Parts: sequence; C-alpha cells; structure tokens
Amino acid sequence: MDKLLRVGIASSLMLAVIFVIGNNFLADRRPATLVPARDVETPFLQREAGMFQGGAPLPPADAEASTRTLAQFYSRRAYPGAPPAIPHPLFDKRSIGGRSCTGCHAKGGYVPVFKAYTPVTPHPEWSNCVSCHVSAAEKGRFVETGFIAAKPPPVWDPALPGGPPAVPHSLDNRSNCVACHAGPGAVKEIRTPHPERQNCRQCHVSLDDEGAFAR
Amino acid sequence: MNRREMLKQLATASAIRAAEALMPGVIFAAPPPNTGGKSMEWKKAPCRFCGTGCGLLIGIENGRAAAVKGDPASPVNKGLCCVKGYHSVMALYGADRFKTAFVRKDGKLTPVPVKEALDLVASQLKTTIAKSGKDSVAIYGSGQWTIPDGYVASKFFKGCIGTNNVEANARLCMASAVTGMMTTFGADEPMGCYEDIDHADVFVLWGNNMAEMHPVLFSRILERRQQKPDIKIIDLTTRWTRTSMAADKVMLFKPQTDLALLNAICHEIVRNGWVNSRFVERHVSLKAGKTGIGYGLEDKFAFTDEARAITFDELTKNLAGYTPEKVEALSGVPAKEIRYLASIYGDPKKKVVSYWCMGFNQHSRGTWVNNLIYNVHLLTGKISMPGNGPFSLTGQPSACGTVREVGTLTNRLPHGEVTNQQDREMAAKIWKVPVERIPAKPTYHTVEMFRALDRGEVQFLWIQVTNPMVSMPKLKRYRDAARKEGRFIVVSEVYPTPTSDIADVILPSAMWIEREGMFGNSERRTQHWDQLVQPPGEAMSDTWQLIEVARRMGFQKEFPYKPETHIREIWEEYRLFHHGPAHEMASYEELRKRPGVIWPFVNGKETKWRYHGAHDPAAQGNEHLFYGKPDKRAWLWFRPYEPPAESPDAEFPFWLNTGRVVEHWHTGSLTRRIPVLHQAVPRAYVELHPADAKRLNIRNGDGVRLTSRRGSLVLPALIDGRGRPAEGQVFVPFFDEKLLINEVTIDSFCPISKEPDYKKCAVKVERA
Repeated sequence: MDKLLRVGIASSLMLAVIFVIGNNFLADRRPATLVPARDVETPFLQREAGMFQGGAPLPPADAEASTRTLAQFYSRRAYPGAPPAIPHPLFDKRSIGGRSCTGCHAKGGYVPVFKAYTPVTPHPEWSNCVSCHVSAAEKGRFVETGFIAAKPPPVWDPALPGGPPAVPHSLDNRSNCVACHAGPGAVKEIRTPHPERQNCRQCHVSLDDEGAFAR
Repeated sequence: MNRREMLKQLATASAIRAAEALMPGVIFAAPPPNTGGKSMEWKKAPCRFCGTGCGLLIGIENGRAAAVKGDPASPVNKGLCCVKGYHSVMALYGADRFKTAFVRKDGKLTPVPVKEALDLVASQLKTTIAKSGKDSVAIYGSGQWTIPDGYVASKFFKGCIGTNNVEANARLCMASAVTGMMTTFGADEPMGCYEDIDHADVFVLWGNNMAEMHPVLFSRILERRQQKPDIKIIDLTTRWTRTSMAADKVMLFKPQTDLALLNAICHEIVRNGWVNSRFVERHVSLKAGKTGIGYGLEDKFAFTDEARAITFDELTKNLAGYTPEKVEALSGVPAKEIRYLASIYGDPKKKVVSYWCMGFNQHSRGTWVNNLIYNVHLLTGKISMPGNGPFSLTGQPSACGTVREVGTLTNRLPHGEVTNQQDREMAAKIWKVPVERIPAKPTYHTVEMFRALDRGEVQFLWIQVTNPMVSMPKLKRYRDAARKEGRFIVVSEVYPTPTSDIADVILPSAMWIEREGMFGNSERRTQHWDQLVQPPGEAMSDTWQLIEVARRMGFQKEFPYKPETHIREIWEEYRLFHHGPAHEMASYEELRKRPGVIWPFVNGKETKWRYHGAHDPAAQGNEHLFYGKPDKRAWLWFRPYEPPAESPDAEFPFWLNTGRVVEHWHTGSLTRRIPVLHQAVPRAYVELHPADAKRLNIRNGDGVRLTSRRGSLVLPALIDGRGRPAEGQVFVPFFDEKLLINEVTIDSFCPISKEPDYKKCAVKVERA
C-alpha cells in the first residue's frame, strides 16, 4: 500500500514536471512578443546634488506630519505610473510650465501656503510640464468611468528576506531615484532609509524588463 | 494573471505538494505570488489621438487595459507621451459605451441585436439606390478610420456600389495640405520626417500652437534647444499661446495676412540675392493660377484652377507688391521683423524647418498658403534634406494613413484620382470589379455633401468614427438637414454624441485596441497594432461592419476575407496599389515587428527624406528629383493676398478663431470621458484680450454672448488663461458638445481644397 502510494506520488510528480517543462517550452516557442528590445540610457550615478540646497523656508516643527501618504500619492494618478494631476492652481496659466514649475519642483522644500513639502520632479529637464500634468480644476465627471487601474506594486518586496527590493516601475522619466525616494517631500512609505548612498542601482535593479531567464 | 501563468502556477503548486509527500520533513519554498504590476503584459500600439503617432506600450491586466507608458523604442516619441496618450486607455471604459445596436422606432432609439441593424442598413441602402440612384447614398468617415476601415469603405462604395460619395473629416482638416502638396509636388505627404528636429537650427511655426497640439514633438524641439542653446523657435501667430511663451521670437500677425507675409519673405529673398539659383534653375517650374477665386458660400460652387507658366521676372514683378513696409501695414508685423525672418530663411548656413497645421489648412486660401510656404523653401533650396524642409503636421491619427494614402475622398482612389483612366483601371483590377463601375467624376466634397443632404440629393448617409454634428461649420443648417424627412442616417459610434442623436441606426463600434488595425502618421509612418482587449457587448470593428453590409448587398466575392485574418488580407491587397519605389509599403510581418515603418519602404529601408537621391530610391541618384510632376520639377506658384470671406465690420467687430486645447481631442467624445482630462478643462470658454474685456466690462467667468450672421452662443469668459488673443479677436475651443461654437462659424472654404475656414469669421461680443 505504502509502495503503491509512493509510486503514485512519484508518477504524478513526474507528470507535473513534464507539464511545467512542456508548457514553458511551448511558451518559448510562441512568436516573440511584439515589444522590441529597449535601449534606455540612464546615468550610472544618480543626480541629486543641489536638490535640497537654496533658500527654502524653514519648515515648522510639525511639518513632517503633513507629508503625503502613499494613498494620497496614488490618488493623484489615474494608475501607477500615470503623470500626476496638479492639485493646486497654476501659478502661470499662460506658460508651458518650465521655470514656473521647476522653481519649486526641481529643488523641493517646505511651502507654508500649502503647509506641505513640495514633491520633487524626477525629470526637471523636460520643460513642457503642462503637456503631461494638468490641473484638476474641478471634481465632476462628464460620464462615469468603468476604468480599473493597474494595481500598485508592492512596497517592500525583496527577493530574499532582508535583501534590497527591486525597482518595480519603469525608469523612463523616473530614473532620478532620490527625487521621489528621499527627503521630506518623498512619500513616507517609499522613502529610503539610506539617502546618503547615491549609487541606487548598484543594489536595486529594475524589474521593468520582465521575463524569466532562458538560455 | 493570464491562463498560461495560472496553469504554470497550478502545476508548480501540485508539484510542490507531491514533492512534500514524497520527502516528508523537507520544506519546499513556494514561488512568490503574483503581485500588482507583475502580471501586467505590455503590448505596443500607436496612440489613438493626434497625427503625431506616438508609440505606446499598453499594460494589459486581467484582459483589460490598465496602464500606459511611452514606447522608448518608438522613434516618434522616444518614450514620452502627452497627457492624452498617458490616459488614452481610459477612453475605452466610459460607462455609456454602446454595446448593442439601436434603431429608431416611432422616433425613439431602441436597442436591437447588431445582426438586425446590419440587415436594416443593407436593405435601406438597396432601396435608396433603387429609388434615387447610386449617388443618393454616401459614407463619411475620418482620419480616425484605421487603414483597413478606409480601404473597405472605398472598395465598397467606389468599387462595388459605384459612387464617389466617399468623404472624410480630413476634408475639414487636411484637404488644403493635400492640394498644397499636389499642386506643388504632384505627390502627397511631407518629404521630411520628425528626425528633422535633431538637425535643424531654426524652427518656424506658422499658425501652429505646437505646445498644445503636438506636445510631444514640441518637447523634442525644446529638449534639443536645451542641448544647443543657439537653436531658435520662431512663432508666427494670431493669438498668444503657450507656444509663444516658449518661443524665442513671436510675431503676431492679423488673420489671413500670412499670405502677404510669405510673399514678403520671398520678396526679400529675391531682392537680397538669397535665391539658390542653381537649385531653382534645375528643379523648379514657375507658375501662376487664377485669382479672385471666391469662397464657396453658395450651393454647388465650382472652381477649377489653371496653371500658367511665368518667368522669374514676372515672379519678381508680382512680388514687388509685397515689400516689408507694405506688408507691415497689412499684417501688423514690423518690417524689421519680416526682414529678420527672411534673413533666416535666406541664410544658406542655417537649417530651417517650417511647421504648420490647422492655421494654414483651415484657411479660405488654404491651398495658396500651403503653396507659399513651399515657395520659401524652394527659392532657397532648403528642402528634402535632414533639418531643412517644410513639414505639414496632421491632426488625426490616420489622416495620412487612411484618408490621404487610401484616398477616402470623393476625388481619390487608393492610388491616384478617379478622373484618371489608368488609376481607375488599376483599382478595378485589384478590386476585381468592372472598370466602368468606378465613376470617373468626383461627386460631393464634405460641405457640399451635407448641403446635398439638405437639398435631398443625398438620402442615405453612413457616418463612421467622427462627429460632424459638433464639427461642421454653420452647424444649424446641416443638423436641420440630417433631421429632415426622407434622410436615413447610420452612425457607427462608441459613445452617445450629438451625431448619434440624429441617427436612424447606431452600430456599436469596437475601437482602437479592441480590434486589429493600422494608422499612418504625419511622417509617413505606418503603425500596426494587434487586438489587445475584447470589445464590449456586440461591438464590432468598422471594417467588419462594412464587410457585413457589403456581403448582405451581394458583394461576397469582393469581400472574401476571413474573420481571423482579414486585417492581414486587406493590408496585402491594399499594398498592391502602392507597389514601386515612390510609395512601397512594408509587408504585414514587417509592420508587426517594428515600431512603425516610414514609406517608401524599399529593400528593407525606410525613406526618411523624399525627392533627394541620397535618401530616396525613387530620386534615382539625382541630387533632387521632384518626380511627382510630369516635368520632374517642383512648381512654385505665385499666389497673391486676398481677404477672407468675412472680416469684422461695424456690426460684427471681432474676429472669431476656433481650435483645441491639449487636454481634449477633436470633439471631445473620448477625452471628456477621461476624468483627468475632463476635470482639467470641463467646458468651453471664450478667450478675450484683457483690454477688450475691460472695455466691455467683462470679468473672468462672466457670461459672454457671441453672435455672428449664422448663430449665437453664450460662453464663460476667460481672460489671460492659457491663451491671449490679440485685441479685437476672440478664441473658443470647439470640443464642447454643450457649447457648440460651430453654430457661429462660417462655411466658407478654400475653392481648391474645399476645406472650411474655422479660424476667421466676424462676431459681435456682448456681456450676457
């Protein structure tokens, strides 16, 4: 009886192995995905020098309490990775953004008017800001939407316990890690515990190009 | 998680359980569960909106489009999108999608199965043709048609039914660009490509608010200027825009005087000896056409231009009336600035690209002003070379790919003109129809088609992928026409619009990534996408709707395509029309592999610059060869300044200009259903100059009544918003179906292109 059980288990194990290998084999033989290989150039070292320098006003003692939460962070985006809408009135409606935006959003710092720290843009080099970021002038809807956004990636998801978590998002336009992951303007849940280290991607690799290794 | 992944995980889990039973006491680690984002599959598709044709990667999760990123592999946008592109997939999921067909019964639109609606469309087509002839039925599409949509529409109406009643919204948008190209070069579509941005020294934008209308291309220009600060952006405009804010130099001119400005530049180029004589002698023919050509305001307006050869002396004499001083008086641009602009075009060391879009095209002399910008580039020989050339931008995602290349206009065929015997023979051969069936005479252009609907000559109109009950000028006449007794209107749509409101039958369409298709963008790039998600309910692609109706009318033989492979079959059939070095298209396989392919695609190589031997195989090694014209030369047309159909007067003292905003695309039926975009610009408004507002005692948000000879409308005022019209002018965006500015606009058009002028008419402005 015991022998029979072992044979049974062994054969089902073999079948399962055959199925997994066979399925992967077939998957590999499917026509290549239509997304061509990408060649994104990103600097080896991150640029953060100067970000928190300059004459930003001194924050009050309880300023930290006003930092955005991750939920607020995602509430400004249609889906994780979408350009966030502008939650405040535009200072210069007539311009394309440029310095009127980067004046605050390139460096960060505390803004007493909004009682908040300025989120820092990871791509101050783009100046046509309002072509992607639009102000949420009103709350209403023209028609209700049935859109279901992609789920946000898990916040702390290292491959091994205690290991460095991988970068769960695309690095296009978001390759300046410290802009969003360091300093008081950064969302608490995704703030790095070691902003002094600058070569982020020495430990944190991008999962942007997914796919299992195959020879 | 897709099926494959789920099976994989099930198999792994059962293998682990089996292994644990086999080796008690040994713990096998389970693979990490699939978490957010990781189950996402990214697939390529061109953007649904403007003619830039950005490459997108669409994130598909649980069979739904859930995210977007710019495709870094696309040479168009290199990973960047605009706010519409990033949120484009949300346009699929508005709560009021049409999921079934509707038929008007006792005056009310009633849901019916699609099959029943298709039967009705076919029988109505048959009875209308039997009763009133082939030219009483018509189809009206747009540059939002995919290439296969437009191709089957043309084959069905021109090749099978036998009527040239095929038109598209592009007539309201791109027609002047087409006639401009055809009259000057004898071949349509730009010679250059977006890579010009990486080579030019100066960008001259003519009546083109690129920062809002082609934001990704504008960002590329700004990025380049940042790298090379001596690069200049010059904005020629009638209204101060976001583009003006970013430009190095802004020249505000009075409406319609672009005609005079371009002639003044030519005048200066000739007077200062900046003409590239070698180029002009070898490659340019000088022509003049008719003048005083009218405005098309009357029904059945007809005009045919005639080319007359002129000498260089005659050209010089004609240009003598356009000295910078004289043109300053007309246009308001200081003579000094006109000279400055001429010196930039005239400097052989400076590479110049000129961009334009609706400012030139929606113009009562649209063809002329297109000709004139070519004159500037032809006189200086700055054309068909990297960083040097005139470039006509497009408004719709496939205005080029479908309307211009497939030829879904009354006068066009997939290759050439209906008036040309050889072109008709080619079409008949590929379509396998008798050549006599394709009529040799064009019928109605768009405005005239709607007038014919009013007069009762057109009784059946099938509208696909566009919203003419928002976009037609002098709207009331054409809305009343569509509602008349004895008119049958079929509308293929995805959402309720003012156009579906007037329908007798609504067919629910599968849009964009809910079906397979191709678009062709401004730079001659054809882009393919696979079906990525299922359409809702019974929604069906416009291509397949047309095939179903054609088959019901007895054209099974002409439409033999299989549901699984029809896009491929249609593409390979259509490609036959463009065989040869001047227009060779890539194969279906090639299109699926690449992030778009620029035609002519010869021996596996894209032609980035046409008419130059270094890049274009059809130029046969010549330095330049303008092979579109029989004399192998580009035609430089002298075109004078003539006023528009209507200018401000004592009773209607303001100019009205209409246009778009970056957030909304065309008539807004898609973008307004995207919450982010709707919230940013929830309704239309009228922009006023602060001095005019003060004089009329109008403050921001006040109601303002605009009245023209056609109609009247009250809108909220916007003073110093994103745009500032010049004094004596107002601007209104046209996307808002509740505040229809086209009740006020005029239906005058360019007599050559038949494209209406949405940019100029006279209005009265009052505080409401």
